[in-house]
Amino acid sequence: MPARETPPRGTPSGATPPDDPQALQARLEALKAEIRAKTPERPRGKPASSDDGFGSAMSMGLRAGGEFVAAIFVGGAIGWGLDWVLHTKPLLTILFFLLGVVAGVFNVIRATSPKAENFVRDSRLSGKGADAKDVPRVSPRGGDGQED
Amino acid sequence: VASEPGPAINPIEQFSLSHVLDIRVAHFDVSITNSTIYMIIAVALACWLMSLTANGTTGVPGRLQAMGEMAYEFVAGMVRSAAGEHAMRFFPLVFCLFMFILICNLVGLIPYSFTVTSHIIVTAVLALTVFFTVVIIGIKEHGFHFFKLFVPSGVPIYILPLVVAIEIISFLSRPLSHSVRLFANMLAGHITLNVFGGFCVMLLGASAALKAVAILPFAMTIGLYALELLVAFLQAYVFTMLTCMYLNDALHPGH
Repeated sequence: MPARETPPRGTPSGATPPDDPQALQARLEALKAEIRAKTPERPRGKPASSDDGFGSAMSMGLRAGGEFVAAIFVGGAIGWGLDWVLHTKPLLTILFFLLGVVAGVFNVIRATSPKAENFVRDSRLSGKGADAKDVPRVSPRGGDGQED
Repeated sequence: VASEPGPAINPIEQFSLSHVLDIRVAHFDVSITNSTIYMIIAVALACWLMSLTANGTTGVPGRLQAMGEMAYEFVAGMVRSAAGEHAMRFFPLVFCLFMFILICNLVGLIPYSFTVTSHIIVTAVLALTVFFTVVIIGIKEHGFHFFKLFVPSGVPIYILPLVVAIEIISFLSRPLSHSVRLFANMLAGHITLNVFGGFCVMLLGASAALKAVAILPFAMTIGLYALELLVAFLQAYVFTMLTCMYLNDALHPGH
């Protein structure tokens, strides 16, 4: 944040210390540091309040569907490519297609479940997450938390 | 989004590219199209907003400055929470992606404008940028350890090859789902808007009794428009959020 040398508008030229932009900037920085010190560190991967509105559920569903289909496509494509290179026509396509389906299920599980490490960090067993959890979150940014 | 009154309303006409300035470089068509123009508009808007934010500060921000600062804080918070404090060196990338996608989405909602993000080639390039960033940074930072990403711990050795293959497919499917999600949302939303706008126009062109019914698709269009506004923001957010999560994988590959 650049401290600019602009003369404060609307104030007399002999500016009193609090109106001086430099001092104001410094106060602002101090305030920011104070706010940051007081704001509990947000648990990772869950930036916003996790309200379960229709929109969030909808987009969650669409996301899961996308992940599932994408993995199948990629699996099939890899199999097809390998078949093409190795001249084993239907074999690897089928195999990798199935692997793609499994990977798709993996993706969906991963997309819909909270991460294991977050779970450990946020659970009451770990010291830091525990006390952060009891503090009401200050100004949850990020509106509708529909993804993680 | 334009739903022009015409003999036949084609809902995908709005996505067609048109050459504004023909340029050819050694058999490659690098013409300036309407898509290019809207990309330039989006970048210019983002630059304008952020330069306004960076310049004018005497401590009390104006409206636009507050908006720019909110965007900054929002993305910075996302990067910090999803990928950790030291991922902030990728903040420029993530922030550019967010602003570009958000402004493209929002500009696309203005009637008669063009939605850049409704073309899969655009979103695919963005997603591949993220993908290759993740791979290159991961290998650079962790060397061979990066590939531990594909080897989850605590898996019995006899199913490990299977799991590794699945993990690799899962990893490779990321750019696909990453790009298709944004593209499909924008495409579907704009087609829906156009179709309902088309109903409106068609009913107004019909007999007098049907004219009154035109209010129904009109109301629907307004509702969908609000939804699209949400989707425009949400998809930019989702894209950025996933970028952060993938960067997190690059920085901390050991699950």
